[in-house]
Amino acid sequence: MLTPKNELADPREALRRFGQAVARDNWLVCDERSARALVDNLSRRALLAARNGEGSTPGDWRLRLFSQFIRLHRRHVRMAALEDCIGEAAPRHVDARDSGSPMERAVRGLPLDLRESLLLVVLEQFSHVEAAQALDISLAALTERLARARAMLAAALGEPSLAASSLAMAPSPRRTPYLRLVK
Amino acid sequence: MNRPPRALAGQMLAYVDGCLAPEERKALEMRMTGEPAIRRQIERWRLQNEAIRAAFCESSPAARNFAAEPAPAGVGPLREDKAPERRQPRIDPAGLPLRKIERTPLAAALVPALKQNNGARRARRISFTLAGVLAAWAAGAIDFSGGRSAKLVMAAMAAYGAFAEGAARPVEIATSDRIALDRWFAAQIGRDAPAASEVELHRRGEVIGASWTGAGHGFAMIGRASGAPVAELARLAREGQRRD
Repeated sequence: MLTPKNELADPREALRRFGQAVARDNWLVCDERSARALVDNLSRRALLAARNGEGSTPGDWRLRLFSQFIRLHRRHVRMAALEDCIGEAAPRHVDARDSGSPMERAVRGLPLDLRESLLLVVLEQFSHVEAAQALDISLAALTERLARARAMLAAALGEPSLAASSLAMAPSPRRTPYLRLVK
Repeated sequence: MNRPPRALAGQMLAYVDGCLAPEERKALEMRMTGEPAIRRQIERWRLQNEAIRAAFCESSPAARNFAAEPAPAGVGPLREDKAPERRQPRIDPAGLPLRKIERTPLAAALVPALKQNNGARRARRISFTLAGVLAAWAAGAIDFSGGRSAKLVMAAMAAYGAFAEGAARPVEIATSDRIALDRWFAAQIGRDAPAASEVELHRRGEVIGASWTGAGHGFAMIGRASGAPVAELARLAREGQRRD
């Protein structure tokens, strides 16, 4: 499932583009300047961490770099949410100053795990295997996330045919929980 | 389209994202010819991919502003698998530290002279280098007074004529000072502020518009409605402005 991808001459630019797209979520980071400052900070730390060989992500340098960025960003989001005593399920407000396109706003409205998966694959053109490695999840989980992200995007953008067809995949045949209460 | 089975949906997503193995790709393409629903679905996902890339590519305002920012210090280009190395101070063989000297152009010009460790020759080289630097600076100044500066002067005069002719500069006019603002804008566009007028209705097909002037500005209200409600709304808006 590996495929050639568009290699950028300077991975910094790709990382900053990805970081800007991921970090601004109209929830914890609501404006471009805050996102830029956060991404600058996290990029610097991710570069150092990838350079020092931190983490267990296999693969090439670019993949390790993105993996480190995602790890650091997730930690930042966890800490920020703890400080503000809010959860992922908290209602998100629409940023009136957000001058982004409808697609940008729709992507910002996705949950973080879906946003990361979608942008790694679509924007940065990592293969599914590589994206799963960077996110430290299974290939099946990544596929599930991609399908959910695409369905949510279609719904947010008001594409009835796309939303109605339910891009979410058919449910797994095993729906019963592993653990049951036994009297 | 019914929900695709898990394996098929995974294959379709991999196909759209360009990471399906060649044999699986061929098999899916064969299947797409027989099942147009799959083809349509894949086409929608492909369009979605293009829209995402277009939204976050360099042409988007956010990305453009972001890319215009200089890279943060310490985030320099790195070579893959390059081991971290401690930066050593650069020392000239003659014992002169070079890092700070090279930061300014003048000092950079002096470096060849400073590298000489001989007293008299060193002083002579410094004086020659200084003379060269001064000559280059003077040549630049003369050139600056030529054609390029004439354009600059013309642009400055045009800017002054446009923005600084009045008693107060436009940035110094408060929005609350409506009269001064109207006067300044009227002078810029070469027209006086329009006199207040009644509501006029205009119709083109199903679209109806109401326009009027007041307080030095023109107003319009456009919509798909019958004439009476639009006229009533416009009249209320105009009366509201008068009350303000």
